[in-house]
Amino acid sequence: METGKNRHIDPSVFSKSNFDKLGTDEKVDIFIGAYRVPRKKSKAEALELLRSKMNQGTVQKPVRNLRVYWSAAASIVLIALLSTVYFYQSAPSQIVASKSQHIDYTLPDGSSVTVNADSKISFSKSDFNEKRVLKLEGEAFFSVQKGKLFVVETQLGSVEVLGTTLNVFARDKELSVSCLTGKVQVKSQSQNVILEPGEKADLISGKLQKTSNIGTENMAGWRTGEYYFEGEPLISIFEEIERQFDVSITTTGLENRFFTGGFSNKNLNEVLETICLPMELNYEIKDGNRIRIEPRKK
Amino acid sequence: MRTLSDKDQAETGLNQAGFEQLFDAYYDELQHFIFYKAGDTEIAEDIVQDAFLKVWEMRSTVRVETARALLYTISANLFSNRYKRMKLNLKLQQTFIEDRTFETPEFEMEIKEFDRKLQRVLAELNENNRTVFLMNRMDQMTYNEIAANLNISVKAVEKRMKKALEHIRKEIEQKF
Repeated sequence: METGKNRHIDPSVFSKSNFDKLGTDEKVDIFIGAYRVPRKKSKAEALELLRSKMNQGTVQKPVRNLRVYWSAAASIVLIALLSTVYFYQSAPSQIVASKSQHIDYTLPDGSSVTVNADSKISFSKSDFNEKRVLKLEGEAFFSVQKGKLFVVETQLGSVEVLGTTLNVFARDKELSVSCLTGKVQVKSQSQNVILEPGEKADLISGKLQKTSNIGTENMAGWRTGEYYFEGEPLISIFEEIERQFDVSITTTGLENRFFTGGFSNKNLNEVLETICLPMELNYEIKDGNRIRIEPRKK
Repeated sequence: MRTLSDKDQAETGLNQAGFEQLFDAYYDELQHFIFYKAGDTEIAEDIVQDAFLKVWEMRSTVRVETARALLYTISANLFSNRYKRMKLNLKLQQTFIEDRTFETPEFEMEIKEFDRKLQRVLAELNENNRTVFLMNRMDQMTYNEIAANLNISVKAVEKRMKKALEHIRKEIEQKF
């Protein structure tokens, strides 16, 4: 780290003729190699301060930015939309993934879909090649063959695709669409947004909002069992764990708390620990599949 | 993600000496980690201070083997909960320009300009890509080490590195 290492630049770099010979990557490496992270306190001062606090207990409460957890608002939207349920033509085929299950499926047009746990897609097999329309409840990842318009209908809105890979999350309170490649159009009521790779649309309090510059590697990690959350409500994360491990989780006192971090879905205990330890929560597993989670008492 | 061995399970709990060893081993890299996200020294130092304090408070349940990733997760969460939509003003420190004499004033300008642009491009990078990139380049952590610390896959680290490099290359070449 910077304290021990003397960040030194070969002085010959600072001759015009040598500098001009370097490529961008080399220049960047040389400069970054010489940068240091600034600090106010030395490490020893930081340790002193820490020691002085260590035996007093109580960390200051974080000054939290006000963030709105919108499930209440969104469920009103849902109820409003329920009265406009679709009529579905001809006997649809259904692909249903139960809890703790992921299903890979190839659609009649050659597009592939991975259906996440506790999710369902339905479509008409006979005329799917004519009309590429399917209905999704839950979450699925699509890799769409180029061709006619491909439409994913959800309860809160629809997603139109030309040829692309995308992830659609449509559970009762939420609609979230991420575009990994290609171009996607998301429609909900009278709104619509167009997504390009690395962009995501969320329906928040009835409004479609677009976020750019998201790493596509985080968009559908669930397919490989890697989950990454960025400032997600803890409650939604525990709902995801319920679906992935087929367990039932009851929580108290987790409203308005958010988590950033990752886990893989290999081992339930490890996942619970990854979240509960840093967030200072206690968890208790009963009968192997019923879990209680609550904030650790101070 | 690492799997737990029986040995890890067995060694739960930290005493003061063990805790201070963690501080000694990881304070710098954590202060850097939050600085890469926040671009602010005081915020970085406060967050890391509080993260260590939390680990101290939960010391009876902490295992040495997973403490490093735990410190990263706590720090990242403290940061994102307190300062989510903060405007970034990232400025790394350099000492190699001021006390040097250059062949010509024009060349000195060129070097200073490169520094200024590079710092701006770093500040503009997506937070996750920048953090991973600087952990690798400034703290010389391997991809495996970064992946373990952040509980993400090595592939995700590779992708963030690639994104960061592509962005930097493109922006620097465009701006010159």
